[in-house]
Amino acid sequence: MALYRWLGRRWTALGLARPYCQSVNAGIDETPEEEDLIEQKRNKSRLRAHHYNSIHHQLPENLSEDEEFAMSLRAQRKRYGEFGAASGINLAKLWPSKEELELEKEWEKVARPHSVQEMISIAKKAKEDEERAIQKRQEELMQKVAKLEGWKKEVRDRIMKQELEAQIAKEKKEKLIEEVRQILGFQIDPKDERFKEALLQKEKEEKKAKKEAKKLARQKRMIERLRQETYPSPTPVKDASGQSETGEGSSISPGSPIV
Amino acid sequence: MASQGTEKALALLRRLPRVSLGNLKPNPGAVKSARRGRGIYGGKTHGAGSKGSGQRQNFMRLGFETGNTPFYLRFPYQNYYKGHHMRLSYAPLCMGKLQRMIDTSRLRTDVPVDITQLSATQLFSINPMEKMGGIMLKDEGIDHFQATLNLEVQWATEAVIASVERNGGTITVAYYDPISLQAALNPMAFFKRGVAIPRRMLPPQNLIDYYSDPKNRGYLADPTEVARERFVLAQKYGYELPDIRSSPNQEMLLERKDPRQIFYGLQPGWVVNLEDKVILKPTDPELLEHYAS
Repeated sequence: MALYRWLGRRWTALGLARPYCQSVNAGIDETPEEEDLIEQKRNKSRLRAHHYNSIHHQLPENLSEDEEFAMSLRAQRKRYGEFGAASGINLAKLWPSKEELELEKEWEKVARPHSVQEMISIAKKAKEDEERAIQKRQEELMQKVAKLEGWKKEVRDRIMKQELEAQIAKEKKEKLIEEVRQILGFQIDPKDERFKEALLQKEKEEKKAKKEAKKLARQKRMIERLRQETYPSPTPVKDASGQSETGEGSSISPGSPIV
Repeated sequence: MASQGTEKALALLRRLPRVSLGNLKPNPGAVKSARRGRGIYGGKTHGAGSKGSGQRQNFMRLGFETGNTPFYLRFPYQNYYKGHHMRLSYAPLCMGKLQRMIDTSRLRTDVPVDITQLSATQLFSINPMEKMGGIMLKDEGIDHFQATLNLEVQWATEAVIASVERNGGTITVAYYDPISLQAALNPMAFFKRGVAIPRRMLPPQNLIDYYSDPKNRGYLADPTEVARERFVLAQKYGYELPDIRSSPNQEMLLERKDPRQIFYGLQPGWVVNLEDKVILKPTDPELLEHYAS
């Protein structure tokens, strides 16, 4: 039965069997009635059945069981949407089936896991956290900015000190070289071996002289202290814990720092 | 003295009863024929040049740079476009255009104006599939806006809200998820599908802030706070806040949709049939529970 109907449709499409039919519920094995024949003759559009139905917004035959089974829910709902109750679709199919409903619920759960109030509170919290982080950073920056001038000064001082030291060392070197040159003569290259030996000797002498000077200075200070003891000055002198190096025997020694 | 072209144009205007595409032609040289050259001066190479890939019709593909990595392949990503696939864009509607639509009767103000009404003017192309969220109102023309209407759009700024409320109207911003938006833009096509009206989804996390803020007249905001913000805005912009309760179309102006509702007067879960002109409502308790949630 269904096969014949399908075949009829095929032949109709191919233009073999009754190509210009437009009746709603005619089966091909029923003899066409008077009226149907007359209607067929009136129709001179030469359109295929499905085209004619589409243009005139006419319902093609209602679905058979097999067709219902095969046709998708979406297509059946569309059929109802187009033709209403006349389409013969069961109205229960228009709403989501149990499976479809489950899927919808799951989709919503994944896409929108939170309720409105939860979402609003999350957004608020995120905003507040951001504000707090900004505030914290600002405070840190303020503290650092306060120290900024100090750091700048430190850097400048350090550079100046380095430059000064370098300059002093350079000047000393130059002086030594000059002194050696004075002795050895201007023709000799500073990089020469003799020059270097002379330089080293000079440096040694310098160091020795320095040491001697230091010693002298210390001795002088000692003498000064002793003199102060014998002829005491208005200011009192503190008791000392250290011993004198030269061993000059005095048990009383002042507590002034030794440079 | 005006140029030859201008002179000709003015002569045309004087001569013709009306100017249309039927009696105008483009300037000489504006339209180049797509046909290949034949005959005396279009002959020999027939517009294909000499030798090379051009004449031999073996063209390099667009963007090809003779072997080195082409510009369009050099950058696998750009930080400017980070997350662009998750951001929505909105069709702009300036207040001047809105006023013009109302003045020319293209848009009716005796019913609440929402995305469905605006889409029915057929002046906007909004494609939810292209990550468009709906319509946004722009600032241009707020000084000349004079209509009183109940407006619902998807994005609005402070100045726009002030211009609408100054004239005694109301404005709301509401979120429509892509499926709901598609239904709202063309209700007839939606009803022809024969499916139940779905529930409108809530905004995603990144938009909840905007739609729950009373300053933006968000549809999820507290109505009392919205009322307060109305007053504050009137103070800020310096206009007298009109009393809506005493106006004749008070009911229409105060009509609001439920956050889950897509169409005015229709609930989620109903099936509307245009052929039989009926509305079908579900009776299954599970479905009822789902659509009421």
